[in-house]
Order: sequence, then C-alpha cells, then structure tokens
Amino acid sequence: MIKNWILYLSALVGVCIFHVFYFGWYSWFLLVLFLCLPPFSFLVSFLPMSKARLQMELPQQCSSGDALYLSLQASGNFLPLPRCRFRLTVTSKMTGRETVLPQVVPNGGRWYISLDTTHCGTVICRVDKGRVYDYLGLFWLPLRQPEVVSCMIYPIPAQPKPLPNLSHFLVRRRKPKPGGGFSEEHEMRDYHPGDRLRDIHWKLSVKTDRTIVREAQEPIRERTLLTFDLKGTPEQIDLTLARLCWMSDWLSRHETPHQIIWIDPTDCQLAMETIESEAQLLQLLPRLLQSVLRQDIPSIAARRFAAASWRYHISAGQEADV
Amino acid sequence: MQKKQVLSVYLLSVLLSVMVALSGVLCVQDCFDIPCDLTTVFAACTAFSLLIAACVRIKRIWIPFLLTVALCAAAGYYFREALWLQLNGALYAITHSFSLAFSQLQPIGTPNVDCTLLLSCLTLPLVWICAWTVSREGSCVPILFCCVPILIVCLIIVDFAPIFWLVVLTAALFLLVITNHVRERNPAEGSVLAWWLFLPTAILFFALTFLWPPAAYVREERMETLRLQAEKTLQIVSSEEPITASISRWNRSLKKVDLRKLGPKVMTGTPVLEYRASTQIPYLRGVALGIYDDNSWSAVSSDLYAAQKFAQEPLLQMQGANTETAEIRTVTPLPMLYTPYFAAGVPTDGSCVDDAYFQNSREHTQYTASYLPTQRADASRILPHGYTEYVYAQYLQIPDPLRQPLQELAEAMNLTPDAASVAAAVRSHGTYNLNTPAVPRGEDFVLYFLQESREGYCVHFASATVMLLRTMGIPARYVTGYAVKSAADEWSLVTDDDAHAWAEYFVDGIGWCPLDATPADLSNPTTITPAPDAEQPSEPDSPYDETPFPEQNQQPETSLPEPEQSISVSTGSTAAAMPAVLQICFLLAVVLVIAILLRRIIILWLLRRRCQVGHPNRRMLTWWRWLVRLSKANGTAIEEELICLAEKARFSQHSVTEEELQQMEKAVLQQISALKASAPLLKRMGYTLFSVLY
Repeated sequence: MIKNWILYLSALVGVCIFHVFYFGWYSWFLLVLFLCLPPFSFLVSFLPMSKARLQMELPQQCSSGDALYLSLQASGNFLPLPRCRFRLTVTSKMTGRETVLPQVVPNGGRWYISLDTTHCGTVICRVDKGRVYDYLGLFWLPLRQPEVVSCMIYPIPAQPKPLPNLSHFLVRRRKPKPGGGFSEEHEMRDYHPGDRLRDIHWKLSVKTDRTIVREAQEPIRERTLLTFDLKGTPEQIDLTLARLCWMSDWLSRHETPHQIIWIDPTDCQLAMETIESEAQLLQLLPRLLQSVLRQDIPSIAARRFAAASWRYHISAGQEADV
Repeated sequence: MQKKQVLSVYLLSVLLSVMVALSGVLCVQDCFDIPCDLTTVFAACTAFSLLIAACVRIKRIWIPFLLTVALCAAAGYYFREALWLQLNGALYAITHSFSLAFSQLQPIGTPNVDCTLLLSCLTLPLVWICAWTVSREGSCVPILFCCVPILIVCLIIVDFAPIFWLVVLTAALFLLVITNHVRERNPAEGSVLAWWLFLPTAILFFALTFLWPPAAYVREERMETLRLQAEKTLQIVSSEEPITASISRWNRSLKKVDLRKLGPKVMTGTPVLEYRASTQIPYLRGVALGIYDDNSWSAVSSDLYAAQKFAQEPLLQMQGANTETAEIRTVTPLPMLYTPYFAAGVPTDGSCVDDAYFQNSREHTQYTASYLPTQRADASRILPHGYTEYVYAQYLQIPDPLRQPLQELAEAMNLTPDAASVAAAVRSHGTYNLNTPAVPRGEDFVLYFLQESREGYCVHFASATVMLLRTMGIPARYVTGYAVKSAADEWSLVTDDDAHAWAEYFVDGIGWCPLDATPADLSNPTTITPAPDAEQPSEPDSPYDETPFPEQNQQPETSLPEPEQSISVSTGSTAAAMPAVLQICFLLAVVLVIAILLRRIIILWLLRRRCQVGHPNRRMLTWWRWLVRLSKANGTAIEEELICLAEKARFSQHSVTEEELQQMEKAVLQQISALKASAPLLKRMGYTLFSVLY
C-alpha cells in the first residue's frame, strides 16, 4: 500500500506542477480528477471490500510424511475481489515453532499451501492481519478472519530396534480360577483330594479309567508397562511415538492389556493410560500430539515400577527390558 | 474461461482500444487541424480493434503479431509514396501550428495533404498495445507511456488543446488504471470490473466537465502567483504568458454554418452580453464566412489567406486620431470578440483570424473595442496591399450548379451591379417569417428561398443577398453578429434574440461595408428578429436598411442603467440562472442516487444481521418476513412446512434448531434466485433499490 500511495502522491505532485505551469483547462481537470481518484476508488470498491471472505480447509489428521495441503479460498460478491493480503501463521503446537507466510490472494481466489508433515504433532493454521484493499490499493479494510484450522500428524508405527523379547507374550498363560466355577478356558487334570465332586469330568474319567477333574482357568493378568519420555528434539519425539505406537499396537493385537506411562509436560505429573485395544491407543494419541513440549521435565526412564511384571521404556535410542 | 467471459474480454478490448487509439490519434488531428476523413479513420480504427482484439486472444501470439508486422510492412511498401506524402502533410500541419506559437520555427512539409491513411495507420500500434493490455495479463504502463507523447505534443500550445478527445482519452486511461490490479491478476475479472465501472466513470467525467466546464474555466490568480514564485525560486526563465498561437486560427465551431438545419426559430431571450458604446452603433459584428457550398457557409481557407502575408490586418480597415470605444461584457467566454463597425484596433488580448473575425484567445468575458464611425472627419480607410485582389479571388465564389439559375434570377429581378439595389430587390422579393421551415432535402437553400418559398428570416435574406451580389460581380460575404441599438454611453443587454445575419460587400478602395436586406418583421415591430440557432450562438436578423448605418426601427429589449452590475444580477433572467439550476439538479440527482444506494446497503446489512444474530426464534421470524416479501414479489405460495416453522418460532416456547433456520434461509435464497432469474430488468432494479428485497 505504501508503494501505491507513493505512486499516487508522486502522480498528484506531477499533476499539481502541471497545473501550476499549464494554463489550460485540462490541467485543472486532471488535478480534480486525481483528487477524486482515491474517494472514487474507495466508493466503487467498498461493496466488494465489505463482502470479501476468506475460508480455510485442512484435513483433521494425516500421517507423518504424507502430503498435506491447506486450502484457502477468497470470495466476494458479484464484483471482482480486490487485492487481499494477510499473514498465515502455521504453528506446530508440540514444538511451538511458528512459520509466518505472507499471502496475497492469487488469480481465481483459490489456492493451496503445502504444509510440512515431517514431524508428528499438531499443526495449527491461523490468519492474522488480513486486509482487503480498494481497487487502487490505497485504502484497506480488515478482512474477516476465518476460523482457525488444525491437523494432527500421526506417527507411522516403527518397530523398536533392537526389538525387545516379546516371546512370553506369544503364549497365553493361565492360572486356575480362584474359587473354581465356570470358565470358557479350563484344564483337565487328575483328581486331587479336596477337589469338588462337581468338577469331576465323569465321561472322560470313565473312558480313561482315571478320575479326571475339569479345572476352570483364567488368564494371568500381569502388569505390562510401556514408558516413554515426551521430550527431546522433534526427531526423537517422532521416533519415540512411532515406536510407542508399534509396541502398543503389537501388545493389543496379542491381547496383552498394558499401561502407557509418561510424564505429562502440561503439569509435570505422571500420566497413565490403560490400553486394551487399538481404539484406545487412537484416543490417547491426540492427547500426546497436542502436548506442548518442555525440556525441563524429568525423565521417567530411571523410575522404578515395582508392581510391573514387564516394563519397556521407549526412547529414540537403544531400549532395554527392565 | 467461459464463453461469456471471453466475449466480455473481447468486447472490452475492442471498446477500450477504439477509445484509446481513436482519441489519441484524433487529439493530434484535432489539435493541429490535420486534414483527414474522420469517418475513414474511425472505420479503420474499429476494424483494427475488432481484428487485433481477436488476434491477441490466440495463445501463440507471435503468429498474428508477425503477420501484422508483415502486412504492415507490405502495406507500407505498397503505399510508401502516399504515406510519405501524408507524413509530410502531417508534419506541415504540426510545424505550421508550432510556427504560429514560436516565431523562430518554420513549417516544413507539404501543406494541404489529406492524411487519412497515415492517421489510420497510427491507430494500429495503439490498438495493439491496448488490446494486449486488456486481453492479456498486461499492465497499463505501456499504454500510458504511449499516450504521454501524444498529450505532450498536443498540450504545448494551450489554445490548441483538443478538449473532447483529451477527456475521452483520459477516461479510457482512467478505466485502465483503476482496473489495473485486478486485470493483472485475471484479465477476465478485470474486464468484468471495467464493464461495471464504465457507468461510474462516465458519471464522474460528466460531473467534472459539467461542474467545471472548459468554456467557463478561468485560471486562478493564486496559481499564477505560485507559478511566478516557483520560477523565481528555481530560477526558471519562461514566458510570462501561456504559449498560444501568435496568429490565431479558426475556431471549429465558427468555421461553418449548416443552413440545412435551419427551421422555425424559437425566441429564448437568453442573455449573451451587455455593451456600452460611446456612440450609437447598429451592429456587433461577429464572423464573416465566404464560401457557400452544399447548403452551408464556411470559412475561406486559412492557408490561402496566410499565403498572402498582408502587411496589416484587413479587419482593421479604419484609422484615425480619436477612436471611439465600446465596452463589452459577455456572460460566458465566447470564442470571438464582438466589435462594432469599423474596428480601429484589436480588442483586448484578441487576435485577428484571417479577415473574418477577432478571436478571444484568452477567453475574456470583458473587453474593450475601439472603432471609428465612418462619419468622423478624421477617419480614413486603409486596405493592405494586395487585399483587393485577394477579395476578388475569394469572395466571388459561386457553386457551379447555382451560377446559371442565379444569373437568370438576377435578370428576372432586373438587378444592376449596385449593392443597394440588390438589397432592395431581395428585401422586396421575400416575406419575413420566423416560422420558415427547413429547406427540403435536395433543394439549394438560396435558390429555394428565391424561387420557391420566398419567405424566411435574416439568414435567408443575407445568403440570397450575398449570392446575388456575387452574381452581379460584387465581392460579398455572409456575416453573423448582433443587431443592437442603444443610446451612447448606456449599458445595453443583448440577448440571443438579437442575433442577426447580414451581408458585407466589398468596395474598391474602401473595404467591406455592411448590407442588410432583411425586411422588418411587421408582426412584431418592436422586437429585433432573431436568428436561427446554427452551430454558433448567433445567426441573426434585423430589419435594417443597407449601407453602413441604416435606420433602425427597434429598441433594445433591456437596458442596464448600472454598468457596475454584473450581467446575471442586472438581468435577473431565469435563463441566466439555468446553468446554476442545472448544476444543483445534477448534484441533487447524484446525492439522491448515493442516498438510495446507501439506504439499500444499510437495510440489507441490518436485515442480515438480524438474521444471523440473536435468539433463534427471532432470527427465524426475520427470515420468515423476508420470505413473505419475496414470495409476494415472485407471486408464489409458501410451502406448508415453512409456515409451520414460522408458527413454531412465533408461538412455541421451544427454540428452533439450527437446521430449521437453515431450511428457512435456503428457501429465502431460492426465492431470491427465482426473482433474479424471472423478473425483468426494471422490476429487478425496483426490488433491489427501492423494495430492497435482496
């Protein structure tokens, strides 16, 4: 706008000089015309300026590394849209990193901006300092700000290297159900004194000529823990979350309920989520991806969890069973 | 791009190209009076625009460009001699005009060459650049740069500025500049915007030229002071006065009187000027025209006059020791200075245009003219050497088809080579009638008057007198001005009704003498008979006797006892106040239009706000009321479901949902679309501006 004003004022000064030195009517006419130019431009532009709108569209989620485009559309009324300028701020909520992209509405009023999805987290797009100019570019009105849009960039699960020993999760271990009773899972064994008569499997005992008892079983519920530190560089966070996803997903698929424990950067307190299925992991991820990272939180790696039968601390480096 | 958009861009490209190219070229033509056939130039420019606007739409632009260049080169080679000659002709016209303003310059080139081909060719580059600017993503800077030299060349000599074409050119450039940003982004949108801005631009330009008309422009004193200060500060040595042509040239509006347009005359009584002379004078002389052809009076060629290089001005044919003076004040600046017979000097800041009239170069509204009545003993006539031969060469012209009939008429009327007898014969030949209809098509104005109608007013009698005088071998010419009569040293008002036409005949050794053959208007003996309204304000009439100062039987309609009073004050005429009234009416109309538009904007804004903000039920009812108005305008019934929604919003204690609101809004939008599609333009304007339905 400053450039336009400089141009206009230069032209006006030129016309004034022309009027001072030229004796004819035309110089006066030009002078009046130049003086009328800004208000005329503002008047004819006012309607499209006041009707100018900006809309932003962004997918709610995507995976890390995927192509992500922010769609912007400027619209007005029946008159062509005057020049619009605004500042698009793309913020990574996790790292707090802001990228400011000055934008001018291009031909057609619809355009796309490619966003970086290298790191997982939440990307927030916001429009600031939106201005819609008159046709000469001398005056401006504030452009109505569109709603803030955001997208969560999910990590792609990655197998931890080296892979921890997960063999004991491959076999389902059971124990006799305390108090007996009915269970889908049961085991046959020889009669021991003290067993209840109703537990004897009579048919099988007759066939085998031994007294066989049917003992109700239930899975052994051990406390499996996955811990990780939500801090570090974006690359470390990416790797940590990717491995966490892989581990949690693997355990869920192997019917191993587990708990994920980390120190929430928001309040520096231990946070814990029990995961029994993939859906629960997906519910947890937004919370993690929207966290605002802090580098001053303590590490959870050295903390002892005595009640845990199996704990695995996930980090961007080498992991080890605890 | 849609077909509609393509058409829009194409048409705009053609229109703006024609405007820019034609006004640019005609600026030069009009400014320097380059001889050409305007119709051909216009046709060529339009054809170029149509063709080139289509060519620049082609993606591979270099093909039509090279073709055009090749064609131009071929045409240039084929017409090289004609173009060279016309280039010389145009050069002569331009340098001749500059030589009038700058004495050290000499005209170069060939005079009197028709430059139609050259000017038509000059429109080509302008059309190319303009079409490119509009149709492609081009900035308006090239076209501005192309027009700057044209403007500079045309504006150097102040009184040559071709106002009309300058305004047209400025309007086209204005439109290009204001749509520049949008057009650079998208030519189609730029063209849409330019179409929308056409009317506002036209209104703006019309308003500016209406509020500050070129004819009434008077340079402000402070600008002059500022200029002097600036020159003093910057130590610039410049002329104190604007650069104007030292030898004045014909004003276009005065150069020709088309007699075919003359019909019954209506008296308007519009004040034109007031004057005070130290003696009683019969006429205020305006312009003399010498060529009668094709039912029109036109000026003798300036080049023929300039070629004579008379030592003194033939208009100043009297000299004497004690001159009389006449003070004249006009309502608006007129192109000529009206003076009494016989001028002893050039009026204030005036200049002689050939031997025809005094030009008002500085657009004065008040000036003084000195004259010498022939009765004065010390008055003597002077004629420049060679002027008599010039007069006999130029002012005996009779169109060939008229020569024989006029000869027969002269014989039938028993005319002798005596000016007084010719005037008497013409006077008695016809009847004075202000309601004389226009001459029938195909008839000659003079012959029809003398042979058929035998009725007319001053123009008829004056034209017939001139032609009969020429038939009798007496040089004569047609003169326009005002017939006046007031006592000496008294201010007198002259209105348009006093306009008159008469003849001047040439007497060897004496010069031009007025000769009035118009008979008295018997029906209205106290009123000076007016002239018809031709291209100039005065074509006049009056029942005077011939010879320099005939007997007069009329009195001026109004006299002004207080010379200090301005014309508008002293007359008190409503006609004088007309421009002011018109200006006020125009301003009121503009204010009204703005008020209507503002009202619409405010109403719509409030309506939409009430539809979007507040309790849902209230919003629903606002939508509903809008829908009812739209349905009435469309003449359609509202759906039962929507009626239920409105009743729910009104009577139920429950709030309507957002979906229900959207349903009502959708119905409103549908009704608006239907109204836009079905209603005729005028109704739509009414619905939009007055009913504010959408």
